[in-house]
Amino acid sequence: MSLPAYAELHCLSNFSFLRGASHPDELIEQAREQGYAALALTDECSLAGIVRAHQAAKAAGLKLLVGSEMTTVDGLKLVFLARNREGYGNLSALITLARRRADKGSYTLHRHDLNAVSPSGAVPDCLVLWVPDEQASIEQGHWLAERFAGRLWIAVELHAGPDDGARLADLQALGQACGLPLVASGDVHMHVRARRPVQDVLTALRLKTTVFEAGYVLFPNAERHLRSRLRLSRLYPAELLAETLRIAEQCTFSLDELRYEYPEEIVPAEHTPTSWLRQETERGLVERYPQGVPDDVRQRVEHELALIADLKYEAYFLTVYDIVCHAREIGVLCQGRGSAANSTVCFALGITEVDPARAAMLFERFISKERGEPPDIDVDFEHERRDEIIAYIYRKYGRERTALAAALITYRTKGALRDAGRALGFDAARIDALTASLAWWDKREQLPARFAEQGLDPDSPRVAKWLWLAEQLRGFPRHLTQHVGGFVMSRGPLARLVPVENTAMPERTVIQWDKDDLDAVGLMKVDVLALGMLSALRRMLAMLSGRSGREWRLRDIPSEDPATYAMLCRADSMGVFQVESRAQMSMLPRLRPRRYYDLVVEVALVRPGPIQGDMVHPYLKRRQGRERIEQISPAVDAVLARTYGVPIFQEQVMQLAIVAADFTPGEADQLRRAMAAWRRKGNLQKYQDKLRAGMATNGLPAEFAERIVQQIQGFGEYGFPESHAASFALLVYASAWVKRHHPAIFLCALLNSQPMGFYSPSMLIQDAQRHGVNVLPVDANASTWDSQVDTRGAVRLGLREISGFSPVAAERMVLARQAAGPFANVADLAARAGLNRRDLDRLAAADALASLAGHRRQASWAATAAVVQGDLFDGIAPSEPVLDLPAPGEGENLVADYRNLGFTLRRHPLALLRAQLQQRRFVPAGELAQAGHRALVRAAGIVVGRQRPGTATGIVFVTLEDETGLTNVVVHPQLVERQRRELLGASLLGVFGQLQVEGQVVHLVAKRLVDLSAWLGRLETVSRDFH
Amino acid sequence: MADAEAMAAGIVPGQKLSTALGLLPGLATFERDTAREQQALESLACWAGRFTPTVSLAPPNELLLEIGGCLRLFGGIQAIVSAVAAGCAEQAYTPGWAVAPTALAARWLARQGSGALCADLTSLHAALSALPCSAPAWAVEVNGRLESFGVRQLGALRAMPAAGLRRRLGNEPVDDLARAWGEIPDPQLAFVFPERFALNLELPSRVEQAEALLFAGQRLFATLAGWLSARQLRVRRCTLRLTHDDGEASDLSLGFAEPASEEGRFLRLLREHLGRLVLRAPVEAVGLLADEVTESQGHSAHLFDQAPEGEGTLACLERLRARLGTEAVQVLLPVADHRPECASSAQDVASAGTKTPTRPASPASHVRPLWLLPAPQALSEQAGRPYWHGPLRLLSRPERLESGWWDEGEQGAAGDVRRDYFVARNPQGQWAWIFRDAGGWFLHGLFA
Repeated sequence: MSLPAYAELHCLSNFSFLRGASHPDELIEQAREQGYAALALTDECSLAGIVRAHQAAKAAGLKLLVGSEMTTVDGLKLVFLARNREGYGNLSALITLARRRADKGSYTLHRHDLNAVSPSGAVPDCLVLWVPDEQASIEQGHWLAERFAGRLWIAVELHAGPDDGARLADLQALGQACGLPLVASGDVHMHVRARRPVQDVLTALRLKTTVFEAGYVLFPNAERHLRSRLRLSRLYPAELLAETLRIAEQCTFSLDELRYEYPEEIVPAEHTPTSWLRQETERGLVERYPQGVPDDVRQRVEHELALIADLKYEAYFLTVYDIVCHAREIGVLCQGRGSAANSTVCFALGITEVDPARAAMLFERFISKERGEPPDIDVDFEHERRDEIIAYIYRKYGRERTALAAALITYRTKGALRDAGRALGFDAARIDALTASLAWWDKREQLPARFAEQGLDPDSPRVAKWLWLAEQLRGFPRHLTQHVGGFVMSRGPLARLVPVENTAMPERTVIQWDKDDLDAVGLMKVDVLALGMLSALRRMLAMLSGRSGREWRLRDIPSEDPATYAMLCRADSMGVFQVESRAQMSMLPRLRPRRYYDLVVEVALVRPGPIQGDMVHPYLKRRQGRERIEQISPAVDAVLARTYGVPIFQEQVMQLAIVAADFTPGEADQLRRAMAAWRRKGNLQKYQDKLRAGMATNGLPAEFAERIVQQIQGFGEYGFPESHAASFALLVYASAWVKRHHPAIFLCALLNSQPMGFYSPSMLIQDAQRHGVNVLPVDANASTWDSQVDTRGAVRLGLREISGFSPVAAERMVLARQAAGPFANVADLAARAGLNRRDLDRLAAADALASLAGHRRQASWAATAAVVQGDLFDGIAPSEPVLDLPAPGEGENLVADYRNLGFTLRRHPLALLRAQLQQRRFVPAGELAQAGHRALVRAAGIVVGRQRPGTATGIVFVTLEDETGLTNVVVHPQLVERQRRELLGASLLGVFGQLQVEGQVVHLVAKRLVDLSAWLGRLETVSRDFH
Repeated sequence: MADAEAMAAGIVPGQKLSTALGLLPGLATFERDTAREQQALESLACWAGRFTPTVSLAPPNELLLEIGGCLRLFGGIQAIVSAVAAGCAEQAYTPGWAVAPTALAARWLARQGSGALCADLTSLHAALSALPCSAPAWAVEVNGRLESFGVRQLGALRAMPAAGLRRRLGNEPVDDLARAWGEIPDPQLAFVFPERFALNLELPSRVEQAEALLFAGQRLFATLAGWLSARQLRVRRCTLRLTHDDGEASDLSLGFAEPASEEGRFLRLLREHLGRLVLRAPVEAVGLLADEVTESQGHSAHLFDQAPEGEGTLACLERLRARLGTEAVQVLLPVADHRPECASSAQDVASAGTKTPTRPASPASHVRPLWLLPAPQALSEQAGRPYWHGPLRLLSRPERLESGWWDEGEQGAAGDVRRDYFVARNPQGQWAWIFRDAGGWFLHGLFA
């Protein structure tokens, strides 16, 4: 007996959140294996999974139908299938309509939404399956038939229920009465029946119950999977199966037909995109090269413009250019990065300040005709003002034509454990205890051990199920949220291209696709990102301008300044963009950057990728001339020459694959994607084989080939692109230059841009003080909201440093001072600035009233009485005898400073404890190195940072601060486990350990930890945990 | 709050749960139960009735005993304090305490756990002056202010100008100081001893030996004695109610030939009873009810009315139970579960109670037999057909049931079933509900 052909027309993936129990690619693969003629992915009011399905279907050679299941508020359940591009647009618009009027994550479809919009009825060019429920009526059938004449079917979904025979007969009668044809479909929720437990768990979670209590809302069996055609042939009459094929044949739409069209308004009416891009580029060139455009630059520009025109990418460049122009108009600092950003054209347009000539990088390295991938420009903006840019984009293109890309949130270990536990009826306290006991660094393999620690036997049936289900749920999509800043803009209504839905933020909308989807479909997005350092740099430039009387732009910072590089070589980089982390700081003295390109390497080198790929040591050795750079082949050498024969950048890996192993540019791009995903999917094997084979064919040494393969694997998702590093390096240099030559301005700008960066204001202030900056306390009669550099070059701290103080109050204080001079006393301050009790309290607590009322206690006493009552007695200061309170001691002041400001300008707390510390032979940070390599020493300090890099297996790095500087402590895993409490709990930590001195890099390897927090009394310090 | 062991591991009040668990992964956590705290405070107040009829509650955790009037009765401050302390210890409480001429001062001093004995105002003022400003537990804001003025102790605070303090801190702190110092009166609301005595104690762990109930019993009778003393009553009959871990209770009626009020006598009787008692099941809670009390003059009163009798069905069930035995009478309650053997549960009449069973919404079209076999019965197969008193003819399309993975592998659970069910008929015309699974054919039910 030959099996009947079948196309599944009603199938949900796990993009129907908490309903579908299989990934789209699993469904596609299973449909292919069962020999289905086609599969329709019909997620509920969503096309979020369709791109993944499309890619999988193309790979599997299976026909994919695009559709969606929707239920009206009065319970009519329909499945729409797009017949062609028009139908797809109509479906996408219908989903958008239903989604946009409901809260994030839900939708509302009314019956009247299905009223005919054209002579061809509602939702034209879509085929419609009606999935009748038990109460389905002939009236409903007629109502639907009117709207979807000739393209409506009754879906017969038989799942071996109590009486399938009767059900079939009922539907046949209904079809007869309404004059509607019947078709078989499966209401598929999973690809194989083995997913039943997962599906049950999702159902229980959706209904906020447990599988034990869910009862009849769970499906009675696992029939909602992709059933074998043999089984279908036994359940359904043959003609109902055959009908599925007729429907599938009518649907010819493929996502490949989608064509992206750029907005038109980026080009003035009298111009074409090509001519406008040419004109603006020429204008920029004149500005960049007032003495005339050098020949080589001219050549590159011509070459690039030709390439851009060839690929029709003008509009993309112009879209970005338009946004950047607006930013410049409103004074927001921005900087582009990414493959296309490092072009001479972008340099001319002012999208980037990176001079491609200086970077020794070629445009083709980033954009190539053959690869056909869309150009990639990310633009970073000042983090505090990015919203203004976003508002501009919405204003310019309108809500109909622009939306953010989605970010798909998937289940991670903790969430999966939590939800699986909840569905299995474990009590909340249990689940919380378990998930809380997972430290941020715990690995999946340690889960059974963590279960056991919580008194849960991993081998007991219930707990084993918990583990298994959590494992299944991991990676399941959970909801859509907004991408950090990827905007999609279109010429026509965006909703006809991809459904648009609401986010938790009322003024933002997202499309249902994430950046991978956009990439795959060839839609372009512009990334509008936020970067704290740009806010700080803009402030630095403004202060430089104020001081010199001429406008400073990023490009006005003197380039290649030896003093700046010398400072970086000393690892004197606190606060400098990108190279301020501990790992970067210990790399700087070894890499010894002397020119811009060294910084590009520095930025990319201290990343998990190069570290795990074991590229750091070979690179340093060769750079220092301690290892020979081998000659492999001219082609390979050309790729690797600029990094001494060691691949550092993502682009180098791709180029290597091309020149050494004969990958096509397209394959190299796939390799890049595979690298990014291998930790999740682990399918690098075939590329590795191809790399080995290719390099052998080209006669490259096997040992070299193996090293490259290993390096690529180590690279994984963490390979950093040169195109981004080049942009970042520029900001590294600019911020380092300001730190070197204008440390007061540097400090001010960083303080005023908080929160950002690795270091707290306290550490930044101490660092500035060590560099000779005079830092003055917050003073009600001298400070403005922001910190400022005064006329003598000292930094006057701003009122913003006072925790809990309001900018509005600060503004009133400044205005009052400007209007009638300094305040005479606290009552005067309160009255003229209209401060409330809380404002005054904050000022007194922060010791900002010292010039008005004396020491802190006295100021507090004065402040609490000087409240403006705003009533009849306003201004009538009650006479009060003067009360002399004893002045606070140094310790009390320190505590109050830390509590209210987060730092102190007085002595460091450890200076007060130094005598005690000395007694117990604790050495100050500044004298540690003198003890010498391998010396056994003791150090103590306030814990200002704990870090556990994913690359250093189990090691925790702790940074201690005392009055002389910072101590870098390394805690090995055994000690982490043994002294967890001291490590996580101590704010003042003593370390007994052994020194590791390597040049200027000093580490203290801990052997024992002592919690000295009690010594601090009530001194509260804030530690920043990084993970 | 944390116990000593937890404190030693670095756990302190106010810590985040995740931090605490990070420090001590085996930490057991309990949610605070304010209702039970209040109950405990009230029962302690009853107990304190043995010392003085004037007791005041200062929730959440403070108790005031006015002992000025009964010093002589107990033989002086030292003696009464020792008696209170010993009594608390017997009940496993370790309170901080203090004796002072003013109520507020006593509370503040007690919080310091110093056990201060201030018989007169002079010693009181000295003790109060040395107290930290945190002792009165004023609003956080007030404490913050005081700290910012550099004022640490109540003595220093008293020395500051009262008018200035009122402007800055409001009236409460200044007035409180005056009350504690005894400058203005501070009347307390007296605790009203309850009309009826009924107290229930949940045991920290299940008790299987009757003797082990003695400790809880002591606590109950100590409280009863305090209550009787404060209300000037004697008890003639009381009931000790043991609640078992199955939810059932056994009552132990204790009668006194003469109305009694002394704890010693109660305990002797309790010991006798417990010595003879064999527990039918482990006990989770012990309660004490004073059923019949008389005033010291000898007037007797029934404290509890007769509960209304159940009628109709319930009465019938009671009779059935009496004739057939409790186990034999059960009620079938529907349970929402796709597995037929789990779709109903037999329950004791008592635990099922008189609740009207609400049928869970089940699929309307279920075909289910009235009689389900206690366990599916394997059927033989002949010529590929199931056989039960003759070959069975399948009359329906298969109904597939796959459900129950969640209790698979667990003791006494139905586990995961994967079956195709059929309605079938044998040559005798008997209708059967049968299924086929990986193990072959089974009979599961009969249609009437």
